[in-house]
Amino acid sequence: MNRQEVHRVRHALSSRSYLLILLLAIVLAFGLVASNLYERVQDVKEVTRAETRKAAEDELARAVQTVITDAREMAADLARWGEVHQQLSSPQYYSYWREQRLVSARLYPGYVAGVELYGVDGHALAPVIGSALPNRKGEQGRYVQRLNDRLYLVTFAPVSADQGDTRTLGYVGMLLEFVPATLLLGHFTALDSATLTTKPGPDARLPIDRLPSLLQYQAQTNPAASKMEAVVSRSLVEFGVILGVLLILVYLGISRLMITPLQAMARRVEQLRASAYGPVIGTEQLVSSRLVELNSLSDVLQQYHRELATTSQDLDKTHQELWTLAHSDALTGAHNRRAFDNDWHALLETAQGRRLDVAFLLFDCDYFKAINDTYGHSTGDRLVQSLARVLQQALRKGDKLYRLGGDEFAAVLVNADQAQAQTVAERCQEHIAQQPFLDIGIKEPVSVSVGIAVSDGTHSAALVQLPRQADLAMYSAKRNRHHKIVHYDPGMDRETGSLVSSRAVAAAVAAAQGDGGIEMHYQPIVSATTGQVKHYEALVRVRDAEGLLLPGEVFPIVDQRSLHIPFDLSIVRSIQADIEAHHLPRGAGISINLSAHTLMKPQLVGELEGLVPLLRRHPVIIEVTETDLITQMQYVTNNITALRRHGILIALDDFGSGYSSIRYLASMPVDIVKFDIDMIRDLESEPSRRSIVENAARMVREAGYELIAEGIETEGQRTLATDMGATHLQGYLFGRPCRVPRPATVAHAG
Amino acid sequence: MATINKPSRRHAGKAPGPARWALCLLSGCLCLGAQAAALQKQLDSGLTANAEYHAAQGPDAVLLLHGFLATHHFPTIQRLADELKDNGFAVLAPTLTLGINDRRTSLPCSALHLHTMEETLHEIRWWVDWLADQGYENLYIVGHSAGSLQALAYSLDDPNPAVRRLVLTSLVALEPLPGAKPTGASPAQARAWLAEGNDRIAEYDVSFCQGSFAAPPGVYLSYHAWDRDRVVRALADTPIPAAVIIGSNDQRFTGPAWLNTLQQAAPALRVLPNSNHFFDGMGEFALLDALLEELHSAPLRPEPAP
Repeated sequence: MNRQEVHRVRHALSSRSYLLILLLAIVLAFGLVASNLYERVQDVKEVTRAETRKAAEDELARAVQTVITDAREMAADLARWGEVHQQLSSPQYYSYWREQRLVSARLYPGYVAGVELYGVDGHALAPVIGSALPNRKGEQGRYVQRLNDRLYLVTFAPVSADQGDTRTLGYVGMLLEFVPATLLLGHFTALDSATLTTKPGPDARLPIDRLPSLLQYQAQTNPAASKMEAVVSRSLVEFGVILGVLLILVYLGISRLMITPLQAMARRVEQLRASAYGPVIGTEQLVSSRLVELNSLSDVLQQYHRELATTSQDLDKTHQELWTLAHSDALTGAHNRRAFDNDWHALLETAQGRRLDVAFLLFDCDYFKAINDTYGHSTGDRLVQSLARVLQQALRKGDKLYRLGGDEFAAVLVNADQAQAQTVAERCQEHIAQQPFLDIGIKEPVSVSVGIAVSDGTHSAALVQLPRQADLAMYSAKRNRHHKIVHYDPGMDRETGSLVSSRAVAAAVAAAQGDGGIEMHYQPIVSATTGQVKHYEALVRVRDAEGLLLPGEVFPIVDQRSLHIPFDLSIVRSIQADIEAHHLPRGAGISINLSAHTLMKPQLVGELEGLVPLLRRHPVIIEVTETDLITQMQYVTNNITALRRHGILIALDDFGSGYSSIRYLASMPVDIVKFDIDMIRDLESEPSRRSIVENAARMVREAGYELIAEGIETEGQRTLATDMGATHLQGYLFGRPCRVPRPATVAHAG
Repeated sequence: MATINKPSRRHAGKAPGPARWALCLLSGCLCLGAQAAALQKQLDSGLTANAEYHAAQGPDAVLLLHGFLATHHFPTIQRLADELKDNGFAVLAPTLTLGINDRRTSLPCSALHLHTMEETLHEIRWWVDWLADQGYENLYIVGHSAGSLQALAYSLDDPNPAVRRLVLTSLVALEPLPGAKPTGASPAQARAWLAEGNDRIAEYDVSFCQGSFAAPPGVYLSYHAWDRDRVVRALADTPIPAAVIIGSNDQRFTGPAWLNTLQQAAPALRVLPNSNHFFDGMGEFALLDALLEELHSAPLRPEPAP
């Protein structure tokens, strides 16, 4: 999944989520509209309330004016009433008249709290008792009297004699209780008449224009506004309920018709995707929906998946074939290097944090190069095929055999300790030993060196080291003539560590570059018959400020850094210097070890021409190891032949330590054969071995070669070697390597 | 007789009945129609009195007297005034003050009645004289109900010589309604108070004021004196020809016995069939016809005695 797909997936939502978001948006929109509408209703209601309040104020003002007018008119009417005139003219019966005609007769409405007649002098015709009307009319014709938190309107009207006579007979005083009068005379729609009361305050006589401010009231709640609010609220609730039900139905409908089938389809497709390597799906529908489009889509997906599955299976088959080819060795059918790498990394990952006992076995055919060169590549290939087959058969069931290259094989044994690995390795060698390689034309016995590294592995870091450790062990087995199965031990790391010691590297490199340091030591080689020294084998040492470095410390560096040629040439130059310095007795031969690399150098003869003048005083023998000579024979033969033409003898060194094929020896351009120290020791072992060595020595001698026995350390060995037919002897019995050998022991070669 | 007994009030405690509303409306209309003829005079008693006066070119003038406690706006009076005016009579219809200055409305029974029968007769005399002073040669006094009684009473005491005839419609006596149980103070009590000099106000039974006529004892007794017998005697004693017109169904104030009494006491009695005390309805036309007949049949002014 690329970054864009991840981004897309991360920001994608399910269809149900989108549906819910849509429904939520609708609900939110409705909520906003409803809220706005309700707010507008509230605004209208507020405006209506303000208007109602204003209307209430106006109504109250009109009512107040009506009451005042009514009081004035009632007083005027009263003033025109003939009986009032009668009482003012003849007041002797006033009390009776007032009681009977004004009070008991109930001539006035209930809000008229009192009526009194006053004489022209302003005094009441009778004492006023229990009324807010005064006993004496004041200057004010009209005023408001607040008494015991009640408001009274006091109105006086003059009583004239008659219509044509303006003489004032007296006054009528009328007392109205204001609030009841207002409620009765006023017409209230905006003012809530039930709330009209007098503001509390101290008793006082107040001007009439203060009337409105002395009242308190509340405006009516506008029924239209309230009803509109109720209608809108109820409508909103009803619409909200209907909308909610509709949204739920829409949600359920879309869920049932689309989302659920889509999700089922997605799950089914996911199952199909997950089971892409499984069986091809059937013909049933992915989902069953009431929507034709979904069913069509389902059919298309179904068909598409079937085709995809078929294609996938074809691709799997092809991939499997390619994978097998890519991970198999074409020659042997064993697993190849790529397979090894894959399996090894997989094993490392599996071993993460787990205890896993693993044995790593590395196989390498001994002298395969020689066999290949001897019998040809076709035979070599058949040998490799046979080895692969035999090794695979010898491994445990389930263990894989990997061909890492050439004649090198590896096997990784899981859950195997050292003993089990040893058993498997021995079984491999036994199977190889029993294999009739003669069938493919190989007469010599075929063996393999086996390096084993076993992990007690508590973590993968230990496993990682196994190939290197097995390689070191196999390298050790290669060098070991007797034990071809070698288990890795940490000492090998130390040897390897010496390779990389900075001291040895510096000294070896300096020596190879001709910067000095090479110090030749010479070990005598004596005649078996006379005991006189015939040659000295030049053995190289490298001296630095800390002392001498032995060949075992130096040559691994030379091998590793491919310093063979310059190092060998430095040795030659050092020997020349020693000869010129007369470190060697006159007439003593000099045996010089050269590597196959040097012997393959095209200009080697020219490089060594400096030795030619020395040949008159010191016969020169070039020693080349059996292995080098065999493996590089094709290339070194010309140089050896040329050297021999210059009078230089060729000695085959370490005969018996390697392949040691007599047939090889016959074709080798050598003059001298040096038996390895192990062959000399074999003379002291069981008779069969001794016989083999003795016969070999006899054949060498009969073929005309001189025979040097190395490693003679005892008189017994000297005797056996002499009896065997050795012409020359070398060993500590005759002298250790030294910088300047003693001249007395030197015997002239000639 | 009307019972409008208080100032016109918009907020009266008890709403009037439909008939009374119609009466008031009619009265109001007539009142408005008589505005042009309104007359206000200050009487020799010092009180201001109101009247409706329609002058005429001829010599004949009629003084219309309203009923007990009523005004000249009373419908029967107004119908008569209009009819007489249309027939060429000068018409004067005063509202008797009953002791109230500038009285414009009827007096209820419960009002204080401080004006005696004699003072009322004095006002009638003043108006008769005033009318005579206007130059009319032939005066006729037409009364209705108690107004007829007062016209009759006036005629007994030196009436103006120009008065030619009395037409007494729905003539009544000022005594309690026939059959009514006395509820007010008794005449004897009134006489006792009067004898004691006690002018206390008491409620008496006078005409339709059943136990509600509020007055000092002297005032009450001045009206109480005019009972049936006194009326019968007055009919016999009056020096002025008097015609009595009464409805056959007028039993409201005097009862059936009164009709019989009148038939014997009044030689010129007209009983208008199907008419009530107020000559409402078709009785109105019968009344007008009868009245005109009575006025036109009045004898000429008698020649002064040599």
